[in-house]
Amino acid sequence: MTEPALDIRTTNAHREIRAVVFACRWCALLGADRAGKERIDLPASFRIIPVECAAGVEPDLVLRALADGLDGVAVMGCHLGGCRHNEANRPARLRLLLLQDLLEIIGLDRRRLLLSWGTAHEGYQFAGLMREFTAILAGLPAVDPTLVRPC
Amino acid sequence: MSGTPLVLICTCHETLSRALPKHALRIGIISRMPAAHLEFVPSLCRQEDMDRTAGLLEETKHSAVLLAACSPFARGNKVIEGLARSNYAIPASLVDLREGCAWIHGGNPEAAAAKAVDLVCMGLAGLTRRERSPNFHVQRERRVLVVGAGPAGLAAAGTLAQLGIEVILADRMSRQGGLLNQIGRLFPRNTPSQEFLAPLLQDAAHPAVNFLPKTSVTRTDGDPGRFEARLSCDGQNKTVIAGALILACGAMPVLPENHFRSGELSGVISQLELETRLRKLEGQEPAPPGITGAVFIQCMAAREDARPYCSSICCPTALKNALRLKNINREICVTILHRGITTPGRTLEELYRQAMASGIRFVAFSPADPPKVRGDNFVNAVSLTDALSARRLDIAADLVVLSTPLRPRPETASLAGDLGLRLDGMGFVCGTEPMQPLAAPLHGVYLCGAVRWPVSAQDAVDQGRAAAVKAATFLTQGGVDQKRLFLPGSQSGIASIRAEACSRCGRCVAGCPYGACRREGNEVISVSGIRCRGCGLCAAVCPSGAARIPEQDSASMRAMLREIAPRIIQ
Repeated sequence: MTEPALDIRTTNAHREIRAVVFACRWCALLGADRAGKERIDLPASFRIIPVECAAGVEPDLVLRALADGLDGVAVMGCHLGGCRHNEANRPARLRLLLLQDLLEIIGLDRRRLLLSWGTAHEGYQFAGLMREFTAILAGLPAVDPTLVRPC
Repeated sequence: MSGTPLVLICTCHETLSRALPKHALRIGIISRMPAAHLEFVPSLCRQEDMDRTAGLLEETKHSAVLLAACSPFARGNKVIEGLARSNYAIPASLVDLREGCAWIHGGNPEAAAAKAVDLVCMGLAGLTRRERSPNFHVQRERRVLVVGAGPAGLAAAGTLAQLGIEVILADRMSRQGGLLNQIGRLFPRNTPSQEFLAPLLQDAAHPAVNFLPKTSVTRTDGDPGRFEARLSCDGQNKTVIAGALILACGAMPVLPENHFRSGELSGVISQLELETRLRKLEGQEPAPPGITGAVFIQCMAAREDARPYCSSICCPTALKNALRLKNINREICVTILHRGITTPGRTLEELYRQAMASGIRFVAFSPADPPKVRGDNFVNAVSLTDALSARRLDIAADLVVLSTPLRPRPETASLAGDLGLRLDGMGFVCGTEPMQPLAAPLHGVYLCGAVRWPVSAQDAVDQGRAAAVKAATFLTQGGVDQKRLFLPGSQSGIASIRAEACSRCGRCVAGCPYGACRREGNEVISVSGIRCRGCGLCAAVCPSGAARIPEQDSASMRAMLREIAPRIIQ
């Protein structure tokens, strides 16, 4: 019996990276808008889904995205203490941190779930995060669909 | 055409066509979404195009409309608003192809076009599956309960009465005016406080205002639009129904407890005590003898570990009272010992300059080495180290005035607790910072005056009027407009819980930031439509998928994810 299939197998160099960004419309969406206004050139690896609050992103949805073959998921909300929704992002953060641990347990790199709390509010911050995230995902292999099977 | 979704792609005066070629978009979208009807428009934000689009929607009876245009913060929100206004019944949504795609992937047109196709298909997948929140009825009692009849509460009550809204003005004292009744004159213009209060009292003496003296609020229940407040009026219990609440219950001064030997030496008094004495002194002609040297000590029991904030009104108050002493008798030596004078704004800056010009001396001290008050039985001097020159100073004084900060009133915590409002670390009530500081996170609850933070009387009045206008807006039209859910400037949706799927675990009840999810008598969990703000936290924590925001349901989210997943999987 060999080691379980972990997230450190062969890296496909010419693979197209796909990530989804759940961006809080009060914070990270502004950063994305700003990056666009400044015409910062970014890798076309990510697709943004605007959400009302980062707290509304179910952990199940993150798993589903990975099961669908996406390389990474980013959840971006307001800074802690500055949530538009009365501190809703604090429990969301705890929940998603736990999910990062669970990803590690099932054999996926925890960096596939990027969490940002108020660090994507400016255009250059959003751009920096997206470049960094794409670079991290490019160093990881495609997600093995047998690892993630959300109910 | 009826029943198919319409996709309007704005080319932004053909500027986007270079990065996102039309034929590439058309082929990409139609191959994946054959049902969609595609139209390219030169600029959706122009009124002609908007009118044309509205006409098109009217004629063709499309089931939904997706706008692929610029970022919501550029023109996108305006466009979707304009369209929605012409027809609220058609679900409309926006995807951002300009800031979110063409402008940031200009270096890689192929990838940009592929992303644009993905974004449009994703938008369509989400839009066609989007559901609508159920209707709910909000009862709005046209009556406001204003707690506290200080300057803020009086201004709020007067303004509401002028707007034709009934007001219940409750105060724990028998007299209106709050803290101003204990103060003789107000900074910055040295206005007598009764003169300042007179117009406010006159406005609040409106027949629509019902003043309840010696009243405290013991409990508040109910929802925005119909709050139930239990009051204790002079020992009798009473319940009032109000559509909105304005908290104007103010703050109270911290009184010295042996700070700077105040209990031990006569002549060491608080700023409030000086107010009383000044009122007596100012009535006398000629100036009474007695005081020859007065020393004010700022920041007593403030800006320290136990009370870390600056109360913001004590510096102007000290300047005002120091000037009043000078006015009584120019020979009095007045010294203000401070840790930095806080007098922001044009009028307060003027007050500071006036104080300096009148010969008042300012000496800075360090909190690590506070001034020492000397004397036995009577004060005779204050000794300290000047923080700037490091020299020891002994200042002769027969009066030491301690500048005392304001602190939250003890009843504030229970009042805020009943309504689920958050207190800051110091015990003041938080509004929806930074966007709506006077509105509590709950609809229909507004804050003004020193209950939020220590403020001057004039600021309290301004905030009171603003809070009144907000309350009036809520009672007449505010809250949630169902037609506009999911549109810009409005909320995303209203949570609903499917009773048959709900296991009644109560995670949504514990998690809801607005107290909207709650357990009914028979353990069933329900959602208060007016409290819900559509953040979706309940849906995210629900283990059985019973709680959901129809507008951002996980089924539509999953459909969106499938559209952006790599093609090979499908």
